[in-house]
Order: sequence, then structure tokens, then C-alpha cells
Amino acid sequence: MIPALGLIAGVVLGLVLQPSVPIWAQPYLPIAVVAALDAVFGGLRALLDGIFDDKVFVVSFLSNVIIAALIVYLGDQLGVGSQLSTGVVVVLGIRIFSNVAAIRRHLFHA
Amino acid sequence: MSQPPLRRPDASMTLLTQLMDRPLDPGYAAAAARRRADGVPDGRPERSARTLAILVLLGLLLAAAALQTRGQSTTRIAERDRMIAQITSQDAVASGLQRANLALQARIEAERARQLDQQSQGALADRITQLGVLTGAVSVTGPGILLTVNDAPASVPAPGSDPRASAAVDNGRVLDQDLQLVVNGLWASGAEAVSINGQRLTALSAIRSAGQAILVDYRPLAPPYAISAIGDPNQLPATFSDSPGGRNLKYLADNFGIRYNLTTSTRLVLPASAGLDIRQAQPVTPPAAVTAPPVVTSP
Repeated sequence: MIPALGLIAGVVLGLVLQPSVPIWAQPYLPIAVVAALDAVFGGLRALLDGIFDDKVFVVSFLSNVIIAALIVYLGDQLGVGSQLSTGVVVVLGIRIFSNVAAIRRHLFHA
Repeated sequence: MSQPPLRRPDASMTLLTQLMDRPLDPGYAAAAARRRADGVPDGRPERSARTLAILVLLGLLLAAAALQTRGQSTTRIAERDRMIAQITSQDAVASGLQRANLALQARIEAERARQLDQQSQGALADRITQLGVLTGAVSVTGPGILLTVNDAPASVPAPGSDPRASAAVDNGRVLDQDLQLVVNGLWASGAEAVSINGQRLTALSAIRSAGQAILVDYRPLAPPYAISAIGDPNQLPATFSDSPGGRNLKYLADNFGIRYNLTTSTRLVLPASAGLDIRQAQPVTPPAAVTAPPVVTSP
């Protein structure tokens, strides 16, 4: 409950403050968001599995965001930025899907 | 007699199977095992400040990304609207400048006529006026014909639609070449002064197209194209209909549905050309000789 409130507070804070994303970070924001979502769904599944650990969650979240942005940055420098973004989105998408499937099994037993 | 080791049937797709089978960070299981080994009781780690901070961060990221994406499209629309407004205002400014230019030219003409009159140089004034009429430097009036040319009815786009959206070749549209032929036909038929939609044509005028718009002296025209020609109203229509320009117009009307209408008028007023400006050409006679009244060789 408290983490959900934290999420809502973050969204409201973002809408109120309207943070301006610096130009150099703009291409990496969407991929960072997808990576963050992957970490959050992983954490939610771990919570339902009963093995949630806040340190693992924090580290996986930050490393996911940074590595996803780094891969896209590297791809941009090598001229394969959009292809690498697609690859990152596919991998993270598969992981999000299977984690959400596990969460669904926990919640609905189906 | 050893059996070969059994290969998994999906061995060639280990990457995908691993992705599907182990979507969860193994760190969670390892941390749980460590806790169990250390005998630390399971608390409520999901309520820790670290988790909360990360979730607030995620909310911020989501909001920032959403605002970013929406902000981009709104700025683009605002940018385009600003550009359209700029084009409209600059167009109005250009029209105003053209009008001011015409008024100033008329004043110059009047002032010069007055000066020449005072110096009793009547012949020179007449000569200047005659040359001005021929070159299009002064506005002229006289009887003539009014020729209205318009696109075929089907090719007039619905109001508000993008004229460039229809990619198909549009045969019912008046082209710059058609207007060129018409104007050349009028000159050949004895027209003494011609204007299209209020743009006086001179020896330096160009009728050309940019995109789907027809430009006369780099000013875009909108259909219908009203072509005024000063000439003998009794003789000009017949001669024009027989000229290549007139025949081409009839052909276009018969085959592509282009509409045209020819009426005679007893009094037409054609403005002076706004774009008459000589930058490079020099007369052959030395300038000193011009001060004396030139020998008028009547054509």
C-alpha cells in the first residue's frame, strides 16, 4: 500500500513540477522507463513469491535504468541506436510479460 | 556402450528459454537464501524507505516521459501555427509594400510630367509616357477583353482539404504553360497591355509554377485567373480564338473540362508593373546624349 502511494506521489510530483528533461537525456528517457518498469514488475513478483528484498530491488532498478540507457547511448555512437533500442525493448518486454503472468497466477490462481 | 548425452530439443534457443524461464532477477532468490541461512527473520522490506524512494523516482520518470512525448507534439503544432501566421502576415506586408510602391511610382510619374511640362519638354513627356505604356511602367486604361480561366469543376478541392493530399495527376488543373500560351496568344492577337489577376505583364515577367501554384512575377495566384488585355474589342476576340493560345484553350475546355469565359469591355484599368527594375542592362548611347530630346522614330 505504502509503495503504491509512493508511486502516485511520484506521478503527481512529476505532473506538478513538470521537470524539463535535458536535451542529451531525451533519447534515453523512454528506454529507461521501460527498464524501470521491468525492475518494478520483477520486484512485485518477488514480493508475491515472498522473497522480496529491498536492496536487490533498488540495485536492479538503478542498474536496469542505467544499463538500458547506456546500451542505447553506445548504439547511438555506433550508428545502431534504433536497432539496439528495439532489442532492449523486446528483451525487457518478454521479461515484463512473464513476470506479469507470474503475478497474475499469484493474484488470481489462474 | 555409452549413450550419447541427451540434448534438449530447444537447445538452440537457450537465450529465449532463459528469458522465458527466469524472468525474475536471481538476486531475489539468492538474498532470500542468504537471509534464511543467517536466520534473519523476514521483515517487511517492501515498506523500507529505499523501496519508497525508488517508486517515487519511477513515478517521476513516468510523468516526465509522458509530458515529454506530449510536449513534443504540442510544440510542433504551435510551431506550425506560428509559421502559418508568419506567412500570412508577411504576405500582407508584401502586398502593402507593392501597393505603396505603385502609389510612389504614380507620384513619380506625375511629378516628372509636371517638371517636364514646366520645362516645356512636351515631346519628351509624351515619349516617356508612351514607353511607360509599352513597358508596363505606368498603369493604363482602355477598351479590351476580359478572359477568365478556371480549373475544371472536379479539380476544385473541398474547402479545408490539403491541396497536396491528392497525389493523383490532376488533368483538370490550369498549368503555367496554359497561361503562357494564352498570354502569348493575346500578344500575338494585338493586345497592347496584359495583366493576370491584377499583375501587369511586362517583357520581364515570368509565368511559372511552384508546386501547384502559378506564380506571376513570383507572386502566387489563386484560381480563377482573370486575364485582362487591352486591345481592339471588336477584333481581339476573333483573332485570339484563331491564335495557337485560343485554340489550346478550346482544346483544354473540350478535353479536360477547364472553364473559360471571354467578355469584351469598353474600359479596363491595368495597374503598373511592380517588378520593373533594370539592374544590368545599359543603353548603348552614352548617357550624355540622353539629356537632349531623343529623335523619335515613330514605329
